[in-house]
Amino acid sequence: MPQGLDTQVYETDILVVGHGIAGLAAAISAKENQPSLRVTTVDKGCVGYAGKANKGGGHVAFIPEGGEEQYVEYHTRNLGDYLNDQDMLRIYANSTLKTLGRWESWGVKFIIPRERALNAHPIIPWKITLVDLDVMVQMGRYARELGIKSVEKTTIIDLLRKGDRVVGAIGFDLITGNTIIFKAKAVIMANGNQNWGIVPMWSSGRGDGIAAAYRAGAKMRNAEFGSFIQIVHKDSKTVSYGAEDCLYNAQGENVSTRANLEENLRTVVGGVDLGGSQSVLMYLEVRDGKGPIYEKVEENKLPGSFIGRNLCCQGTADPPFYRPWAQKFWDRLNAKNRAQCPGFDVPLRESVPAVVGEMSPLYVDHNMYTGVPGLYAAGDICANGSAWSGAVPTPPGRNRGSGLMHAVLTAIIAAKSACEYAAAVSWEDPEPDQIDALRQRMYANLNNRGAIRPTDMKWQIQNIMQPVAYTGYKREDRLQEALGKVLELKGMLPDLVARDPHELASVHECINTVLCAEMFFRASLARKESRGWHLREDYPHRDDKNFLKWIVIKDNNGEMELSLEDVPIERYKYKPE
Amino acid sequence: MNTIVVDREKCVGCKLCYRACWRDVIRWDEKENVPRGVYMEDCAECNWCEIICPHEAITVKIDYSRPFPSPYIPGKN
Repeated sequence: MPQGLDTQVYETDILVVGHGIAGLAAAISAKENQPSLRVTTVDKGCVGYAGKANKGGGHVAFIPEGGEEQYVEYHTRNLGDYLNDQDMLRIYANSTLKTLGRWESWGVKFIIPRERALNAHPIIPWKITLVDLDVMVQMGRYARELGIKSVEKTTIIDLLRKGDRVVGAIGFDLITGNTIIFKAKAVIMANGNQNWGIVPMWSSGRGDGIAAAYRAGAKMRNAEFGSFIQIVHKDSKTVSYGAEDCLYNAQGENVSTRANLEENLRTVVGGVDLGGSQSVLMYLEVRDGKGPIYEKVEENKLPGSFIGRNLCCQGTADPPFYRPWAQKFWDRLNAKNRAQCPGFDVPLRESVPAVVGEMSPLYVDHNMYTGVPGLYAAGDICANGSAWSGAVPTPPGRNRGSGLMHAVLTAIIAAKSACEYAAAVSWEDPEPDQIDALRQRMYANLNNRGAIRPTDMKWQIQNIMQPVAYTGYKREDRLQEALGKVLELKGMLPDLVARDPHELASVHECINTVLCAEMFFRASLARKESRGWHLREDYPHRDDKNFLKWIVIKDNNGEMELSLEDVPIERYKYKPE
Repeated sequence: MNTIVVDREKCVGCKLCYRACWRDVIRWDEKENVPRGVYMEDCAECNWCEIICPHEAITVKIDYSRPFPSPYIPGKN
């Protein structure tokens, strides 16, 4: 351990890693369930602003009463592609209204009353209401009133164990670099998914929690679906809402139509695709020498439309839908792009499919239990790992608004499970030798003799994760090539150097992102079929005989071990036709 | 790289911009009682520091020239 650094130890009954929306919802639920328990949250950011919930969306999906089973069937057949845990999806569908009620009781204001909520889909019962982007401030205030303690500007690197049981976590203070140790009876991981850092708006998820849980023995599932793609304007890196319907190649041909795609690649079935099949279309055009691809601005009807104004703040929202913070957020960004970004305020904007990611593979059961004693999860970190949504990056995949709803619902479940566990077990201290070893690993790159800056490593990772040829439209040789590059970076990790605690956190983000990238490519190689968002050029069809299975990843003495787990389709209600 | 401009005439030292910066880009200069953009390479241009400031004392200048990785084919286009 570097000289001059201190160690601070906190004791708490339940530790929630992350105070974004899932973390605060889990902490609030736990405190409401068991007011006598000490509940603590920890995050790199500050309460009210941490996480992803206030970064532009604010859409909240729910299923109206009576429509639940129709939703489950539609989602399974058209979005989950039979890879979803139908029981978990049913729990989701049956719980959204109750979740809205509990969420509202925490002081959160919904902009549209649920009886007047918007229809989000032309066929299935799936509705959308809205929260403003100060939702985290509202929840933070309530958490504080309940007596929840929050530790800010602190990154958690690893989980502490006693035998197989998780009994705390270790990290460091971003300002001072001091070691921070939490001793806890139960830990809830709620610090987000992996978003590769390519699109600025989604750069909160760096896989820190995924990696910590993996190293502590937790399993992963559905890692191959971590390549959510949005179409962005290349120069501003801002999402081009509606661009998917007015894309033109360099020869002036409209390439938005999906008619040229093979049947199995037409993944939009009445849902909101948000870039999956379009990214393949764009890739094929560019591969064939017809790039770049442009958005013909005058043909984009979304900005200013009812949906554009009121759901996406592209134009001023009508009074019933007006959200002061969301409007300010988008107006500010759009005004800067228009005034300062070359190539933005032009008739043809160059647009690219940008890999957001949303890799969320932490494996949990219906109680949000990871299988490691004392360790639970909520929100984005386990959105694919719970398998509720199936073969689609989650959230939001093709199910806009489900991210916030899933976060709060799974937080409520995780809190209940963690409270019951914490009430039943006695205190155990982490093993001192383990603390020493983890501390050594944690500071290994601080002022070492390495020569690689974390910013340089991040750029290299982004150049592997972004190309559609690697992550959006997969093929054996390209996946092997990408995996080879990831493993090369893995070998370079000891040469990363940090000059201060902030950079040390960046180093760990690199380490964790490389780990997630390895999971993504290994799982993508193992799934030799096309299903949902996982599109293989060399295996263009769904293969229910061999791949109605989940790919599960586990650490085996430092090696990544993959196995197949059968989807229990025989006992599920909806089966492939 | 993005830059942050602080109008010291307008800044009242409330630290809201520092608290809102979830990427730890902004650090607080206790001596001068003003925000500093220290780790600008991590700025996600969410503009939260700007929109949360009650006095419009802080501005993020976005560097639109920063590169984007090859979108389609590695190392090519």
